[in-house]
Order: sequence, then structure tokens, then C-alpha cells
Amino acid sequence: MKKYILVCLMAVLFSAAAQAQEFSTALPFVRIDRSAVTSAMGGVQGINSLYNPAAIPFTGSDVAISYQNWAPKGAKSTNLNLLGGVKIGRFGISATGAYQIGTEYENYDGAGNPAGTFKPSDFLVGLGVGFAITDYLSVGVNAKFAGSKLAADASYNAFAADAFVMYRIKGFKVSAGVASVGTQVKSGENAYSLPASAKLGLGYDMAFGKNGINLAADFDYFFNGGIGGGIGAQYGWNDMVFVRAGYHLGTAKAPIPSYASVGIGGKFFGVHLDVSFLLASQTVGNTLCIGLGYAF
Amino acid sequence: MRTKAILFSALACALAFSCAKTPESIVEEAPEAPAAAIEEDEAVSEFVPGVAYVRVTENFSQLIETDLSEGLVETKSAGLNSLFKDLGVTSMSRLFPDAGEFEERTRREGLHRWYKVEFNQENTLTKASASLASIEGIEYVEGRRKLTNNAIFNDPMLSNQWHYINNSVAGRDINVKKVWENYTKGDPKVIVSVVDAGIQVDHEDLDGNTIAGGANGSKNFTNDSYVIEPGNHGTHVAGTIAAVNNNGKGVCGIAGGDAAAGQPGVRLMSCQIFGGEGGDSAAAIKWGADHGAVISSNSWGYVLDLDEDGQISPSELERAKSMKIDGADKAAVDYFIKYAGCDNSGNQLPNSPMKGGVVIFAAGNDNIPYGPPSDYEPIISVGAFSSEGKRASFSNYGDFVDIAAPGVAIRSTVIESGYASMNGTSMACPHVSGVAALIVSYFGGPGFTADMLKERLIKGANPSLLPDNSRIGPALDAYGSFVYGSEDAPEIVTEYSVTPVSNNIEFSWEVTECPMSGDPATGYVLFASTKSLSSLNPSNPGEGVVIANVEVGSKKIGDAITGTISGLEFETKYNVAIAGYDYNHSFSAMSPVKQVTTKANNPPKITTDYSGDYKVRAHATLVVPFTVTDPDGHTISIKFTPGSPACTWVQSSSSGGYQLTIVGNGADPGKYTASIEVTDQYGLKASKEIHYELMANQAPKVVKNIENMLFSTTGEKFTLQMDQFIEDPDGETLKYSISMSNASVLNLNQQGNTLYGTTLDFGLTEVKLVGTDARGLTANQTFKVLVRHPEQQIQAYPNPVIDKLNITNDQSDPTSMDVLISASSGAIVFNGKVNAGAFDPAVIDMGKCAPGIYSLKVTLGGKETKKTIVKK
Repeated sequence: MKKYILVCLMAVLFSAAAQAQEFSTALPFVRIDRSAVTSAMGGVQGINSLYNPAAIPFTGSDVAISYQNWAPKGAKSTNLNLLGGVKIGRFGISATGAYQIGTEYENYDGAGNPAGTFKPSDFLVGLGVGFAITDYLSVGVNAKFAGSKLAADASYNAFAADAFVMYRIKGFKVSAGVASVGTQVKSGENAYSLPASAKLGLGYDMAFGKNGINLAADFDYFFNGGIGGGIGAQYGWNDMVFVRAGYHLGTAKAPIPSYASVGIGGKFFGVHLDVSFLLASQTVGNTLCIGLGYAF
Repeated sequence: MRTKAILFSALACALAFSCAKTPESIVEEAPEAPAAAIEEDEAVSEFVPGVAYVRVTENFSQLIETDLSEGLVETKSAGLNSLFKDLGVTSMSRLFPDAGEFEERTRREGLHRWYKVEFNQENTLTKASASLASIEGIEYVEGRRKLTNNAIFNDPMLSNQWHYINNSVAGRDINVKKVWENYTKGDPKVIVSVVDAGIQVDHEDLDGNTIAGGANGSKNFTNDSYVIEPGNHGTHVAGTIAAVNNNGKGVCGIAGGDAAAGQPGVRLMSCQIFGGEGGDSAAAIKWGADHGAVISSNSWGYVLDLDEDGQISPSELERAKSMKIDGADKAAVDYFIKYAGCDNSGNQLPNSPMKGGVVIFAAGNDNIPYGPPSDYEPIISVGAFSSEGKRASFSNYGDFVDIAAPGVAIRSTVIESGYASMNGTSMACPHVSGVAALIVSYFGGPGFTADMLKERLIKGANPSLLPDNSRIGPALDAYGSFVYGSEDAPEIVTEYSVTPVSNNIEFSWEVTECPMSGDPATGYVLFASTKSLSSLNPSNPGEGVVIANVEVGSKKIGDAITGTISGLEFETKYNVAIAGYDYNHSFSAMSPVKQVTTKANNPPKITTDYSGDYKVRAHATLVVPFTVTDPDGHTISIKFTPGSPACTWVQSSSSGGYQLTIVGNGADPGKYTASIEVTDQYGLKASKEIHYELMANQAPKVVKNIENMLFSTTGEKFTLQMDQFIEDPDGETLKYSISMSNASVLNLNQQGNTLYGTTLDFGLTEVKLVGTDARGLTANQTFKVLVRHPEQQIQAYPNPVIDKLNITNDQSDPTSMDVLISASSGAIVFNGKVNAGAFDPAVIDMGKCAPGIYSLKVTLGGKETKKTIVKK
């Protein structure tokens, strides 16, 4: 009889489902930092012209491509990215593109019987425009379209937008706005929101002869309650060699987890080659990003 | 010849007896004989050369059966293989092949152990049998006896000609065999004109008994030529009359001679009236009379179905009734009867076998009581009967029909040297023509007249073969026609014994001879009376005399024969006697009269050797053999009261044998009583009561759980004794059934109570085992069979997942493991420990996670496994 009770108890224990944390953020990959520069600085994006078109009129043009070995400890993907912002007078135009190739997985039915394989993928495209209202104040918006192909019969797409206001005075920059505000993704009867957030960005640039230091910080308040942010610093010598470091913070509900980052870069006649490496994360640690760009 | 007979007997004995291995006897070597003598011996052997039947032991059967069933002559028995080479064995196969649904009883009776061995005929049977018998495992050897159908002729289709010799029901034929054996097979001095379609005169089985076309031979009346155009109908009729006998080909004819003995049969003249525009029947009939024929066979008649709708309407019936032969046909018939075999003055020609002719006609196939022109009185009109001894459904009938003959499924010749079976009075008519030809062949000659022939035919026919209401006359009886008019009463029975058994008296005596013919008596009549028999007339015994008829059948003179007079008074003194008779019922003198006193009546007996109880479990069936007899041999009636539907009483194949069967699930459980009451024809009874109990049924139950099974490769096998897991408390052998949730993973094969499984593919299947008893009660249990890829330590399913994600590992028992699930952005959605095993998945609810790509990382035993999971 005791044995019987034990068996029943074990059956109950084993049949109870462990609950995964609620992670209702759709298409979270839209918040991945795809620049080898900013990802080395803790993923600070708020004042960067590659993410914030309001910054383009104050910084100048920069176009970059990057190869990213994302999250090799977690949901590994191979990302091919394009980021660019072009300054035209008081205007700034930006473009974003990314294609993520996921790891092939094996399908199984509900009984555990194999049912073929599938390689998932994500994509992101976007256009932005910035305008300097005064020499100190600018605004900018991004429009994006993102999607995931998860299975032969499962695809999800959404539109998203960013909007920023930026103020600059001397070496100090501050921006505020919203990011990744857009349509919901529906699956069955459930709807999932994009990782939208209210975003605040800070930056301060210093120069000592041929030496330059750039400091930056980000703060995101995600509408699902998550909080994210990052701080980063860049040291540059003669605008040719750069060393970068940073830290990114992500709470449990934030789309991007916490990590530390380091990176280096070189620039010659506007052409810059940058590398970043993420560490101190169970999932995105060991992420390597190599970027090649042209600043003009 | 004497030498041959001795050697033949020696070989037969050697084969049949010396090769049987018994404890008392050892296989004897056949005596050596000169090669020439052996060959001569084999040539006259009763056995087929090159063939032997052997019976092997059960062990030996198991050793060789599989190999031999595949057609091999190479087995696991080295001794047998060696012998195969020595004897030149070409095949060895089961004499009684696999009987499918009856194989079980075939094996139970040991018939699967009989083999047929075919070997080089250069090896004698003597050598072969001795060699085979020397093999360990072969316990009996015998030769294959040559078979015969006891045919008098060697024509291969004679066995199909029931109308001559009925092998199914003896005597239901034209009784011609004894004529062939004792009198004649036909003589060419007799000519039969076949007024019909043309005969294929060169038919392989007619040639020699036909008359070719010519000025004095056959004639084609359809175009007034001597060129006969063969037709099936005429050729078929001709074959019945005189197909060549004993030529090893086709069929037999009634008067077809004996080719092997060099004796031709009667001759067939074709007078063709069918074909083209048709011919003049009257001229054709007359032609026969003018060209030697004394018998005119006419298998034709007038068209009565005038509108050709396949049936006779009332108006057509009226027309048939009034239709009579007249004019030319009548004149021709009269002419044939008067002048056939005669000169112009009506005197019998010196070389003619008969004065005058007979005209024989088919009665017609309209199933009506008229049949012109056959109803013309001088014509012999022939109706048709079947092998069942009944008037053929189509045969015309009535008083005008003079005689009946076989007319259904008649095998004979057709054109192009072929053979076929046909139906009709057209086929019956030539039987009479053929027998008539036999009579003329034997009795014909100066002074023999057509009237004599007609009298023999009709009065010698058998009036009792067909039912009284047949209305097609007596049945043609060739032998009866030959012995017609003879008085060949058998010799008196001088010695006999009588034994009273209840109110019956059993006689025993020996068959006596008919002195004139030398034949045995045809039959005997037994007489019993309480009065004196001294002045008894056997033909008319009068009142108060009880008689019994005993037919001799195939017994020979001097053979013992018995008979019984039944239904006498009990315990009464009777005078008894015997008188024999010949085929024409000419009686012998009465035997000496004896006095016998009958016995008292004895009641029937109900007996069984079964001494057990009559308690029957639900799944069981009790069969108890009984014997019900009446010691006096009286007719008994049995009244059986079953008590419940579960109990039945049927007669078995053995004499007096019955089976009482009680089926355990045939009725509700409980106690019942069946009764058997047997009453003899005089009302004396015997009875027996059977008290039986149908025991209550208990449902099957699971006695042991079947453990889940984990495999790591395909093609792995396992075996389950199902009766070890689900049993019936009643001890019943359950019927097991199996079902699976995924048949691609596993192949299951059920043989009896054993379940054989083979893994087919990676995956999981749930197997349900159900045991069902005789009353349909069941018990079941399920178990899982998982075939995991050996390199796949962790499995997560379903994938893509909607809510519950199952994670299993390769451990039979649940084991703790670390699980980390993260989104594509790197966000962690689950990080913790779970317990899981191969059959006990850890379940993680991802229902609240957004669609996307996730990473699953499991750490078990220090080994880390990472998988991509997609949430839909």
C-alpha cells in the first residue's frame, strides 16, 4: 500500500508542468545591437546615428555592414546586418537591414516521433529620417518591418517605429523617445507585443589632443515592465584606433539580457573596421561581431 | 507366366510388408534376382515404377520438412541426401500437402509425416524401398499401386459415360456391361442408318465402324450427293451407337466392337438430312432399307414450337396433339419396317441379319404428352431419363413412348474428332438403336425378325428403374433384353441357417447358380409364415406370408449371403424357406422349410464410456460420445430434451454413435438437466438423464504489469508471453488482441499467446494488450515502447511547441537535470532543475512565451545538450 501511494505521488510530481517565465515579447531580435561599435559599448544606441536618425544631422554620415555570431551559448543565429545613416544638410536618412539564420531544428510530434527538420530565420528592414530643427535640437523617426519564419506553417510579421528627440550642446548629447512601438503578433488567440520601450540616451565626448573619449549611457523602460540599459566608453587615438568597453543591463522581462562587452576598432580615411565581443552572459556571451564601415 | 506371378507376388510382399518397421520385424532385404528377372518382375508389378510413399518419424519430419517444402532435395539429413544421389531422387514432397485451415488435424493424425518420393525408374522398387527403409527416421515404405476403374474397355472417357456404366449409382444405366462381357460387342453384319446430320465418317473414334458415302453407302440428302458434311448432332448420335471400343481413344459406343480384339462393331450409315436447305427425311429413311440397314435411328421430329419462342403455347400444344405422321414420312417408315433386310418380295435376304426393320425415333424435347412423328405406333418412340433415374425435364412423355433411355449429359463424339456431352431425347434414341444393334448382332440371322427385336427391346426393358409417374416407358435394359424370355431359374438352396433375433429372423446361405447361363442367381426371396409353406408358390406367396427380397449384386456362386426378415411377431413360431430367382424372375424350387421361434423384444440401450462429471466452465466445451442401439435391430426414435441452449445432441458418423455437446457459454450459468429418451418401433423405451452445470464466468485480470521498453536501435526484437500478464481466473485460454498508437515504430506479430516485437523506427508507441474470454469479458493494459537514437540523449517534443514542452532523456528512471531556455534575443525564460526519464518527460509550460526561436540547454550528468525549440 505504501508503495502504491509513493507511485501515485511520483506520478503527480512528474506530470506537473514547470512553468516557463512569461516572455510575451514578440520578435525580440529587433532589439539586438548589430553594430560592432555600439555592441562593444554595452549596446548603447540612444545617441548613435545608426539607430537614432535624430543624431545624423549632428554627427555625419556612416554606413556599415557587420557579421554577427549571435548568442552562441543560447539561441544561436548567424546575422548579416546593414546599418547606415547619411547626412544631407539638416536632414539625416538612415537604413537598417538584417537577416538572421537560425539553427536547424528537428520537428517532433506530440508523441516524440520525428517529423523532419526546419531551419528558422528572422529579418528586419527599416528606413529612418532625422531633421535638425536648430543647431542643438533634432528629431528623427524610424519605420521598420520585421518577421520570423519559424516553421513551414508558422510565420510572424510586424511593423515597428522609433521616434526620438535629441538635444546637443558642446560635447553633451541627450535623446529621448520611444523605440520598437508597433503592431502585435498574433498566435492563435494570443497577441504579443513588440519589445517597445521609452528610451533615454546620454552621451559625452571629450578630446585631449589626439586622444578622445566618448562616454554613453542608455536607459530603456519596456512597456512590459522590463528595464534595460547600458553604459559604454570609447577611447580613441587620433581618430584612428579605438578601444571600447561597456556593460548592458537587462532585467528578466527585458528582451536583451545583461552582459559585458569589449571591442576595438580602426579607422583610416573614413573606412573603419570594428570588432566587439560579449561576455558574462549565459546566453549571449561569446557573441562576436565584426563590422566594416565608411564614415564620411 | 507362372514364374512372373511368383516374382510379382514376392515383390508385392516385399514392398508392402517387409518395409514396415515394427519391433518384431527387421527390414528384410529383397532376394537378389537376375537383372532380367527383376526387369520382368517390375514390368508386371502392381506398383507404379519410380514412386514410393514413406512415413517418417515426427523428429525426422521436423528435420526435413522446411527444406523439402522449399522444393529442395538437399536436407539436414546426411543419410537422406546420400540416398537421394544413389536413387536419383527427383523430388520428395508431402503426400498430404499443407491443408491450410485443416492442417492442425492433418498433423494430429500424423498425415504430415507421409512423403512421396520420386526416383530414377532405373532403380527397382525393391532396391528403392530397401534403401529408404534403411534411413533412420523412415519408419515405413510402400509402393504406389496401379489403379484401375474396372472398365471393360480402355477408352479413356468410358468412366464419364454413366449411361453405360453408372459408377455413382449402380444399375442406373442401360445395363450393357454384362452384354459386352457375355454376349456381343456388336457385329458389322448389322447396319444402322442414322437419319440425322452428317456423320464424320473419318472421326478417330468412329472410323472403322462407318460406311463412307457412295451409291451403296452413306448419302447426303440435302444436296443429293454422296459427300457427307459432318455435323455435331449426327456424329454424336453415331458415337453412341457404335464409337469404336477398346481403341484407347475417346468414348465407347454401345455396339462399337472391340478394336483391341480386332472385332469391328456394327456399321453406321449416314443419311444426312440436316445442313444446307435440309433433306427429304422420307427418302433418307427408305435409303437405309434399300442399302442394307435394318435399324433406322432418327433423332429428329417435327417442329412444334412454331413461333420459335422457346416454349409450347396452348395453340401449339393443340397443333402438336393433332399432328400425325402421314404422307411420305409414314410411307417411308412403313416401307423400312416391311422391306429392310428383305428382297422385293419381302423375303429375308440371305445375308441379312433380320427380316424387316425397326424405326426408332426420339420422343421430342418439348416436355409435352405428344411427340410426332415418334407417336406413330409402329415406330419405337424413345423418352429420356437422367443419371438420377428421373424423366429428363425436357422429355416428351405419354403412352406413345415405348421405352426410355439416358438422355442427359451423354458423352459422345462430335466433329473434328472431338468429344462433347449433349442432352436430349436425340441422345436417348441412339441408345435404343445401339442396344437394338447388339441384339441383332447376337440373335440376328435367318428367321430373326424385326418384331422379335422389338419385343426383346421393350419387354426386356426394366419397368422398375424409373418412378411410376415417369410416363416414358420402361428403362432400356440391354442385359434384360438379352435374357428376355429365358427361364434359367437358379438351383435350389438346400442348406441354410436361421437365427432369431427378437422378432427378426436372420438367414445365411450360399449363392447358387443359374444352370443354363452359369450366372449366379439374381436374387432370393425369404419367406416366413406361421402357416405351412409346403405348397407355397414363390411368385404368389399369398396372404399371411412375410417376405424379404435379397439381391445378390456382385457376389459370385458359392459366396456366403445373408438376409433378414423383419417385423414378425415376438415369441412366435414361424415356418421359413428361401427361393432364388434369375434375371427374369424365374424362381427356383423352395428350400427345405425350417421352423424358428422369434424372441422377445428388448429395450434400446443408451451407453457411454464417459465417467466424469458434467461441470462445464464458461470457456470450455464438453463433448461426450454416446452409443444408442437397439439390440434387436429395430428402428428407434430419439427424443432429446436439452435443458438449455448450451446442450446439443447430434448423430456422429459411427454406427449408433451420438455426441452430447455442452458449450460452457451457451446459456446462463446454472444447473440443468438434459434427457435422452429412446423408443423402438414397438414402443419399448429407454431413457437417461444428464445433470450438468454451467459454471459462472470470471473476467480476465491483469496479473502483472508490462514494463515500458526502451530500445536504442531498430531491428531489436523482444518476446512477451501475454498470458503472464493477463490471465483468466477460470483457467481459460484467452484470446489476445493488440493495438498500437504508432505502427511505424514497431512490428508486432502474435502467435498464440506469444507476442513477438521488432523495432522498426525511432519513436514512441503505446501498445495496448487486451485479453478476452469466451463470454467477451476483457482485461487490458498498456505499455510504451520507445526507440531512441543512441546519440540522442535529450529529446524535446513537440517541436514546434504551442504550450507544453516535454523533455525526456535516455534514463530508464527519472533523473534530475538542469534546463535553461532562452529566447532568440538571449532573454532567459526558464532556468532550473527538473526530473525526467525516457518515459517520464519533464513538462515545461511555454504557453505564455511569444512565438519565436528559443534555445533549450540541458545539462545531465555533466553533459550539456543544446537544442533549438520553436514556439508557435
